[in-house]
Amino acid sequence: MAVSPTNRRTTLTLPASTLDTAKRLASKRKVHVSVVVNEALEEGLRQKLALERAENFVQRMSQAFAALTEDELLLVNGIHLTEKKVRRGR
Amino acid sequence: MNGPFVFDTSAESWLSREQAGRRWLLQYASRHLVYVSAVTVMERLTGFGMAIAQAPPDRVGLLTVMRDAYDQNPNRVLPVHQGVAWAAAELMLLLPMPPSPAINSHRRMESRSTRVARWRFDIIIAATALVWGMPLVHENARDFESIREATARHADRFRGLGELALVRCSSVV
Repeated sequence: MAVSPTNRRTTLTLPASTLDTAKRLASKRKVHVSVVVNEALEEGLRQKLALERAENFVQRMSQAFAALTEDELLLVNGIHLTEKKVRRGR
Repeated sequence: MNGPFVFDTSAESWLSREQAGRRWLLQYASRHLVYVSAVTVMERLTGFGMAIAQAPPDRVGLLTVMRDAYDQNPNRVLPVHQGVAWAAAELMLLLPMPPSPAINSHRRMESRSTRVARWRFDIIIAATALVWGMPLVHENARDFESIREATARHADRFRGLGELALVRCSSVV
C-alpha cells in the first residue's frame, strides 16, 4: 500500500504473532502486509464504532423511558385513559 | 440473532426499561438500526406532550429532557408511504374493530373511539413491517396475532408480501 494523499505512513507496535499472521495471509494473497493489517483494522474499527453507536442509542432510550411513571408510560405508549364518571346516588 | 426488525411502540419502551432488554438492544443495535414506524414516533411525541401538559411544574423539566432523549434518527423511522397505506387499508377492511377490548381499570378507562384509533395505529405499524419485509417485535400478542392471521388467511390481498412475521419481545431477552 503506497503512501498517497489519502494514506499515511506510521509505526505500529504489534505482537509478533499478530504480525506473523498478517504476513502469512499477505503472502498467500500476494499483497503487501499493510493491506492485510489495514483490512483487519478497518473491520475492527467498524465494529467498535457500531458498538459505540449502539451504546449511545441504548443510553438515550434508557434516559427517555426508565424514569417514567406507569401513567406516563401508558401515555408515551399511545394509551390514553380518562377518569370514569362517578355516578351519584339519589 | 436475526434482523433487522421493526419495533412496535410498546416493545421499544419495554426493551428500554428492562435490564435484560437493554442488554439485548445493545447487541441488536450494534448490528442493525432499531426501526420504528413514523406512527410510533407520532404516538410517542403525542404521549410525551400530554405527560408534560399534565405534569406538576417540578416534573416538567425532567419529562422534557426524557422526550428530547428519545432517538428520532430519521434513518430508523420508516415512513407511511403509498405501499404501507395500501396494506394498512386492506388490513382495516379485514379487521375493522380491535380484537381486544378497551383498557378498563376501576378508576380509568379508554374510550371506544380512542381504542379504535389505537387499533388503527397498530395496523399501520404492522403494515409497515409487512411492506418493508421485516418481522415485527411486539408485546401485544392478542392484537398482532389477529393481523398475522389475516395476512396468512388472505394472502391474495397482500400481493406477494407474504405473512406478517412476529417476534415477541419477551422471547428475545
